[in-house]
Order: sequence, then structure tokens, then C-alpha cells
Amino acid sequence: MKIKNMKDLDKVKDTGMKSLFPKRPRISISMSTCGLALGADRLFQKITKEKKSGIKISLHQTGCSGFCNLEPMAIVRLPGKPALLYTQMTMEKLERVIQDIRKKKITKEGLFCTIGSDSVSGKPDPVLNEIPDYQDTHPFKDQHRLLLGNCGIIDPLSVSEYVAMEGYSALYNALYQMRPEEVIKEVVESGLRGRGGAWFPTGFKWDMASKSSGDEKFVICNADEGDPGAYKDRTIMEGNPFKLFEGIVLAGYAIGSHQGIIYLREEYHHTFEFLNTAIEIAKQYGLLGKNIMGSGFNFTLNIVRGGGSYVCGEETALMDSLEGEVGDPRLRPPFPIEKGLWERPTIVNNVETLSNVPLIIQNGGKWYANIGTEKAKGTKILSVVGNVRHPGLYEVPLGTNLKQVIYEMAGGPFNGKSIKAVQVGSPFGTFIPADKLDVTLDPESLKEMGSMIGSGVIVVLDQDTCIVDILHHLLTFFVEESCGKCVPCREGVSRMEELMIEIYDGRATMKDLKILNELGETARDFSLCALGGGAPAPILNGIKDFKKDFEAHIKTGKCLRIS
Amino acid sequence: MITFIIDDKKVSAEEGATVFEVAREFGIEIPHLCYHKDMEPYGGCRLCMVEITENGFTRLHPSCAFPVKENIVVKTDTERLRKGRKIIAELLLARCPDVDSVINLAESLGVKEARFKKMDSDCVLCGQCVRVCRNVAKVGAIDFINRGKNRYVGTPFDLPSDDCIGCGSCNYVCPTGSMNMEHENVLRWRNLPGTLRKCRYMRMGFISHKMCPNNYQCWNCELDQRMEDLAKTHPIFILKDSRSKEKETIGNFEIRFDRFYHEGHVWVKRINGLMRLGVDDFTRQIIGLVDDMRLPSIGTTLESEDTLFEISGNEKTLLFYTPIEGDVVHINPDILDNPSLASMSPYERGWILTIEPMDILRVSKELLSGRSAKEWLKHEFNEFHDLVGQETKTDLPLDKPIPKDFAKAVSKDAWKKIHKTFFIKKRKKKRVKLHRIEDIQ
Repeated sequence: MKIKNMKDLDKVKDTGMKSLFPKRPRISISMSTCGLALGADRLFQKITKEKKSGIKISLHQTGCSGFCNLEPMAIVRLPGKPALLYTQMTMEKLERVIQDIRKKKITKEGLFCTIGSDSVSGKPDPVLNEIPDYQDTHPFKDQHRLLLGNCGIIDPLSVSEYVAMEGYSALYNALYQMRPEEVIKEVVESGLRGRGGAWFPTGFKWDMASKSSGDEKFVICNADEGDPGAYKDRTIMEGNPFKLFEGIVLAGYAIGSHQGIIYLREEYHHTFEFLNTAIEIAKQYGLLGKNIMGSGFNFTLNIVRGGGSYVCGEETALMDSLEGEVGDPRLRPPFPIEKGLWERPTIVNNVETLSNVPLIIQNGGKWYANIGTEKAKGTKILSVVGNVRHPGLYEVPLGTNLKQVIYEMAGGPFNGKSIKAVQVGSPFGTFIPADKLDVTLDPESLKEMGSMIGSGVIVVLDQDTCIVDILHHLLTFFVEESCGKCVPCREGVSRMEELMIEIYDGRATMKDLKILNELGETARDFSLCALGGGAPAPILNGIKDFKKDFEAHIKTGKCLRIS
Repeated sequence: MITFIIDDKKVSAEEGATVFEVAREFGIEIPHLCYHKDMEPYGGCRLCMVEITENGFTRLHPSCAFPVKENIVVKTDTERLRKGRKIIAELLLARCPDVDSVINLAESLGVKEARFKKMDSDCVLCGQCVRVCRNVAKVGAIDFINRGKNRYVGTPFDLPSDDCIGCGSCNYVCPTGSMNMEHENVLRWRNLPGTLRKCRYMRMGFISHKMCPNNYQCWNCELDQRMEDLAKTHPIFILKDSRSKEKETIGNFEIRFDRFYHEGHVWVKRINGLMRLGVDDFTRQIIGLVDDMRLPSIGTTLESEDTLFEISGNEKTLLFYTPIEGDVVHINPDILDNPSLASMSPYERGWILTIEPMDILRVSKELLSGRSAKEWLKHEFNEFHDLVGQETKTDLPLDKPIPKDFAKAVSKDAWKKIHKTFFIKKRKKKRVKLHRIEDIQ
């Protein structure tokens, strides 16, 4: 059915509520890329078989909630009871759960936590008294899950369940009651800044794009998520794709564009097919394509896959790639808002940025501006990886303390080891030594330290890591991914890697450290794009902050921990 | 004119000039490698970087690509710049230790010896050959292959290129002398059988047929001599402004010379024996944003002066008539999804349908193109402004595009008149059934 007015939307909402809180037990298995990799499809087949053999349940698939090591997850909701979250499901566990459903009772064995125990009416189950709610459980504790809240809970391919969670009300309001300038005004007021890594004010970008002349404009959603360790965009796309679509259409409405493109990372095979299905579904509901929600506004959305190049996440290289050229960054000016894709005005926004937009339009820019720090508003999805107890995606308000995130939320290092360094904003962020971790997470305070928040990847390294080793690893990544257009990046960074190998093997002298410094400074100042310009930062800071590691390698040719 | 400061000197320059050009005009030579005066800036060598202070912020920018702005302060020779340029020259010298132009460049920047492992490349990857082939000669026979430090210039799959026209521009612009495409291809062509041995000027598109007995010893050829004389420099450079020949505006209406025009404001483009149709810029500007259309179904046979399609936007509708007889074979799937494309990109992605014509030769005989199209559009432009002046008692500005909400503002009667004068002309028949977009899919 096509949604054409408020009545239709309410109808869809009712369907969604019935599907989320059905009269029969509801089971959902998380089946995004990570779940599938851990065998969620076999579990799903098993339940489908059980369902065919007569057990009365409603069966759903969900996305990932951000903690891939806990996959495959299953959520069971018995009528009138809070939802139960089971993690790391196996066949045996599943059989036990099915037996519980048959007997209509809850056993606490293998139960991870409950979801939303306070929101459900009816008699509380005595068994559940001992089971904590997810808000009190690691790793969900202390999070502020604005964007990830529905990921892993609703069926990502069900428009009605998304609408039941207040979805598409923002788009409806915008299309029927707001002029494009008013949409931009809300976004400017919210203080939203680009989550891809550059932190450029989104409202400002949209404002300029809406004013630049030209009848054909483009909205590009940058989903070329290539930062090592980052998977927040994939989680949003696979967990709640309609939120992203809503944000893209809102962006199109605001700047006067009728075409959107999602530039998807080549490696996300499952996501590609998944998003294509989601687009088809959105079209069936009249939420994309011609005459969206009966308002007369047309907007097409297409997905284009990259070719596996990291630099194509840079917006101008991305547009070259879309035009069928080799993905080389372009010179600026002209900026994409004046002459972007096919020389038409274009805005490029990250998945996370665009997903924030429906929230802003729905609740108002002022509401959003209340979250975060003075200059950086809203929440940020951090992907905490490396040597920590609970790696995963943590959505926190900007301005949260880094130490708190690592030690309290992610559980700190395991096996009783201590932390040596933390890289915030991998791969371009600097390695922050353990004694300087008491810093708030926002672009400004990290910039003061010479680091950056980037796209929010936090790599935690424990005492056994050698900084020279990890810097060499980073440099090989940069050399591999440099497009080769400009000299400082192509020649300079590859020479840095050469020197790093010399240092690692103990063939270098202290003089080589000086050359490394000189090369780094030149690449930083003279490179064409952020890849060459950002690559030297961790190395330059690494030489300063971890001089002992370097000296050990130069003098003995061995890592500090071994010598 | 724009005034700004460069190396403590107050200078003024025309809008649109780059810092590099202005500096050169005032006798300041900035080191450079990938810059060429006849081509778009590339910004790859990073030698021409300068310090530019704008609104209180000082940043490094490539001077070859930075357009001059009011009140900026440019410094072309500071300690930071000298240091960086030296490192870049050293890196290039380590890459090409035996190339004279690189050795000279490095020496002029004070670098005698590179501290890095020497390679033996003779290409600095400045991209001049790639750009001249693609943007000036409009051929695109060569491009960069691989990325990062494995990058090199070559033809697809490193096979001898059939697209190469042997113009020699790549050899001509190459600063290190590493390009040799012309010579290699000429050697190959010499061994071809006589009928396939196309003259170089044929490949370039200057002449339609010429079979000479010279066998690529072009210095014996009169034509070659005349081309050299005409172009003053290498022949390919007379192609330089070919890009601007592609489209033109007549009274703010864009016209494409590779299209045929029908007087009902439908353009026609020949594609492999089929005819692709769309609406022209005139229509687009008058109706504003298209939000719906009605189209004939695939397989419909159109006879002369049949209705073709109907588009609507801004609460107004326009009906179009077919310029050619034939069968509808294809409808643009994107336009079914999003009819607004017709007004966003009327000549490209916003095409509407494809027709297999009964008689393909009639297209070039009966439809307008080139000069006749130009005159017709000029006439339509004048008539349109006259008509609007009469009907609405207000004149639209002649030098600006028609306002976007023109169709919405205009009264129903005036719209009827516009529709009749420019789109229907005198036709009456209405035989072909048109369907809503939703019914076509």
C-alpha cells in the first residue's frame, strides 16, 4: 500500500504496533552480516521448521545491535512480558528457548538481560526479578542510544515497525508543514556536524547547497566506511535502513534535490542486497520514488558500490568514482556544493549524519542542541576495538570522558594487563599515552591535544603492543591506499614506510628519525587531500610520545617489551 | 578587477585568473611541474604551493588552481615553502635520478643528492599526457593504471591502443620525455594493409578520407605542413576550444548541436538507428519542475502528428506531438520512477522515450538542426517574450532565465495561449492513448 496521508500513516503504525507486540510469542534473530557469519541463518531455519510443525509464534529478523561478539542474538517476547535478550545463541540454547515458549514460562538460564521491563504492563514474572534490565547491563549501560536504539530490536525491513517507533513522522511534517528553508533552519539550530570525520556543520553545508544555482542537485550518502575498525554505518544500514532513507529524502527536500545516491563500500556484499530490498519496499509504500507520501515531491534513491578503494571515501574522489573515473581527489575550489557530481551542486553526508536528521526534525533543533558540548552537539557512535573486554559500538553524548568509555563502559583491558596507548579516530588520530586519557570526547578538546575524533574509532592497545610495529602497520595501510595523484603522499609516505622498516629492523640511526619527521611534516602540509595530510599525524606524535620504543628498535632492533 | 597582495606587492588582476598566472605576469616565477598553460590545473606535483592568508587564516594552497580573491595576502617564498619544496624535489630526484629536467628542477631548489633509495623511473606522473589526451584531443587513449606507488601511465590492459590517433600531443607535453605513444603506434600502423592505413588527420577527424602513399612519413605531406602553419604549435592544439562548441545558449535557452529539434519543442538524438526523445530547455524553463507525465505504452505505433506525451508541473500541463513516425520501443525507467528528472537534466538523464523510426533519413531532412535550429529558437524566444508581455502586462527580464514559478503564476488563459502558440501549433489529432506513469510499469 502507498502512504498518501496521515490516515494511511496511522494505519501503518497500528500494523507496526501489532507486529511488535503480537498476541502470540514473538521471536527475532539478528541476521545482519555479523550474525550470519556466526550461523544465525541455521538458527533461523530451525525456528522456521518448528513454526511449520505447529508452534504458534511470530518470527522476525533484526539487524545488529552493535556488539558483534555477542552474536547471534535472539529476542523473545511473550505476550504481556518484557522482551528477553539471549546472546551467543547455539542450537541447544535455541531448543531450550523453544521449550520455554511451549510451556509459556521463563527460565533464567542463558538469559542475558531484559529489554524495557518498565514499559510493559501486566504481572511481573518473579524469575525476572534477578535478571537486570539492559540499561543496567554491560555493554548497554550508560549509553545514549538515539540512533542505535531500534537497531537489533525492530525488523529492519518492516516499514510498519519503523513507523510504530515514530518513524517517518519527521518526513511527513517536513513535506506537509515545513518549507525547505525551515528544515535547514532546524538543522542549523541543532548544531549537527558531519560524522564522517571532518565535522563540518551540516546545516551550513545544506544552506549553501540550497542557494547555489542549478536545477539538478544531488544528495550523496557516503557509506564507504573504510576506517579500520569502524562498522557503525553498516550497523545503521542493516539495523534501521528506513531511518537513513528518511534522512536522505529530508536532505533532498531541504536543498531542492530529487536524486540521491548511496555510495556503498564494495566489501559490504550483504548490505548491498539488503539495502536494495529495503529501497524496493520503501517504493511500495510510496516513501521513495514518485509523489512521496502524497505530497507531490519526487525523489529517487540508487545504490552504487565502490571498487574497494579507501580514498574513495573522500568526497571528491567519491564523485570521480561515481562518474566512472579513477577515484582521485579533486582540487578545491570549486567545492562540491557548487560543482560536484557531473558538475552539479552536490552534498555529501555520512550515514550517521543523515540518520540524525529525522530525530532533529521530529524533536526540533533546540532539543538536539541540548545534548553534547558547547560546540559539538548530539551523540556519537564510538566503535571501541582492540584490547578491551567488551568491544563494540557505544553511542554516547559528545563530551563524554574517554577514560570512562574505555574503563567503565567497555570494561578496560583484560587479563589484568594495563593500557599502553589509545588511538582515537583511527587511522589518522594520534596514539594517546595511558596517562593522558582523561580527556573529553569532542572534536575541539581532542584537537587541542593534536589528535582528532574522526569517525569515532577507538583502538585500545595494551602493554604488550609495540608502537613502532603498529605505526609501521598503519603506514603500509596508507601506502596501499594512496591514490598516487600527488607527490608528497605517493612518494613521501612510501618513503616513510621504507624508513620505518629500517627502524624496525634496527638498521637505522637517530638521524633517520629526523628525516622521518621532515617527510611527515611535508606530507602533512603539502598533500592534496586528507589521506596524505592526515597520515603523518600518528607517526609524528608517536615519535614524540613513545621515544623509548623507537630508541629500543634503533639500538637493538627489538621491541621494547622483548629487549 | 581584483586587488590583493603578493610578496608584499599590491597587484590587481582579472576575476577568474589564478594566483600562479598573476604571479608570472608580475615576474614572480613559482616552481612547478604538472602545470601547463593550455590545460586545466591538476594540482599533483605540489611544488607551486603558496601561503595564502584569507580572513585571518593562513593556509597552503596550490597556486595553479587557486583563483584570485579580494584582499588575500599571498607569499610565494617562505621558509616553510622552501623546506617543503626541497623535500618534494628530493623525492622526485630519488624516483627519476637520470632525468635531466628533474635534475635541473632539483638543483634550482638546492637539492643535489637524494637521501633515499634510488629508483630508475623516467616518469614523474604529472599527468600532462593523460590530460592532453582526454581533455584537449578528446581521445582518452591513455590513463593512470594502479594506485599509489604502483601507478603508471598506459593503455587499457597494456595493449596497443586502437583509440590512439597518433597525434603526438602526449610526447609534446611530456616534461621528462618518457611518453612514446606516437612513435610506437606509427610503427604499428606502417605494417597494416593499405586500406586500413588511415591518415593521421583522418584519425583526428580533420579530413574524411585521404589515402596517401607516404606511409606515415608525414613531413612529406602538404596537409601536415599546412596544419603546422595554421596551429603555430602542435596540430592538436587547434582542437582546444572544441568543448565550448558542444552547446550554446540562445537567449538563455540551451541548445545542443548534436540534437535535432522539432518545432513542438522535442529534441531527437540518433542512437544506433533508434531515436531518443526528450523535451528541450525551452519547455523546462517554462513549466518549471515537472512532477507528473502521461506516456504512450511500449509498442504503440505513432503516425505523423500523433500525440506523443503529456507533462505536468506547477499545476499546468503541456501536450507534445511526435516529430517522427515509428514505434515506441523503450521508456526511460528512471523517468517512470522520478518524472522530475525531465526538468533537472532534460538533455541527458531526463530523456523520455525511444522510437524506432519508419524512415531514419527523414529525421535529418525534416527536423531542425545547427543553424536552422538556432534561428528557430531565437524566433521562439522573441515570440515568447512578446506573448508574455501582452498577456501578463509585465515583461520578463531578457537576460535572465525564466523564473521557476512562472507556470504557477501565469493565468489559465495565458497558459492556454502559450501552449497553443509554441507546442500545439495547428495540430488537432489526438489519436494515441496516453497512460499514467503508475499504469505503465
